[in-house]
Amino acid sequence: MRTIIWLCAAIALLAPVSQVTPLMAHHSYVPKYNPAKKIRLKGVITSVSYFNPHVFFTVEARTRSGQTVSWTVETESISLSGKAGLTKAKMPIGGRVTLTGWQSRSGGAEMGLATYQLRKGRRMTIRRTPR
Amino acid sequence: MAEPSTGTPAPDLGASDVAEVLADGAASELPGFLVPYLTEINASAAAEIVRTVFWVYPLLETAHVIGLGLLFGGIFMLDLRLLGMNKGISVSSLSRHVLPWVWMGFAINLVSGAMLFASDALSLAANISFQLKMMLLVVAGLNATVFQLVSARGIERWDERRSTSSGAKLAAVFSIAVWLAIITLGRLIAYWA
Repeated sequence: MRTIIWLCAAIALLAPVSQVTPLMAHHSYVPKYNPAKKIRLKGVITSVSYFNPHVFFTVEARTRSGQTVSWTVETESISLSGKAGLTKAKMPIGGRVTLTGWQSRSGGAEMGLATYQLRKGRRMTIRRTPR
Repeated sequence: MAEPSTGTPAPDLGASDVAEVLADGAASELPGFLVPYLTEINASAAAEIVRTVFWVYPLLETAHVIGLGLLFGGIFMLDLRLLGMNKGISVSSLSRHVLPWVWMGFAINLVSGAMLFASDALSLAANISFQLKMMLLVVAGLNATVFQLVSARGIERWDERRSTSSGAKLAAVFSIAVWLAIITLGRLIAYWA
């Protein structure tokens, strides 16, 4: 019994630093992305994970010095993304996109998506507030 | 809350800053008289803290789950007893044991839920899952009130080792169904807007 209690306590303490964190943060951008850091990103889609609970995709962008950076972009669940118009068909590999969103708090190449526009497509608003 | 300043410029990752703020489109889907109040809630200092201090949102979500455990756990045990399980425990003594914890869970979830709501008041008020959840919370409250005022009368006749009244059984089945729906709708806020 005592062993079980210690085990539970250890899991509870370790959970925040493990992979449990993205699930706990689920459906809020605030723990992961900085609401004060709104950015625009232009690049080419390199991969799409159209899965629940959140759709993720990667975009290769070019820096001013000509290097390429791979960004990881997070958006809503498949039902809410699809309802906003962002279906899997609108996310072709190699497609050129212009995105806005909130950058990761770490300052790295990760962003929570606000708007999505495929070249020659209409601009879709997926999330209005960073909540 | 201010971001920690590193003093060094951010590395060029190919993104540019934008100042645009999108208007909350949820306002157009809501009854007009509610919009000013919801806008004020959304702009409150508490809402701003929930949106911007990175650990507050997950803390509130965690509190909301713990509160739900206390709330539904207690209600479910009481409902099972009303349905005739464990007749050796009297309904009134089980109530005395369970209800203070149910009320504590309710208080935790009222506060955590109100703060989570404030952080995105307009979108949530327009969210169909959220609207149905709030309606069913009122229904659950009415069911408990009707049980206390009507079905629980004459409780001394079926408090222990007796079959509970059919009114009590009906209230218990209804309560379980409504609470399961409330939990499901709460979870669906992120998927069915």
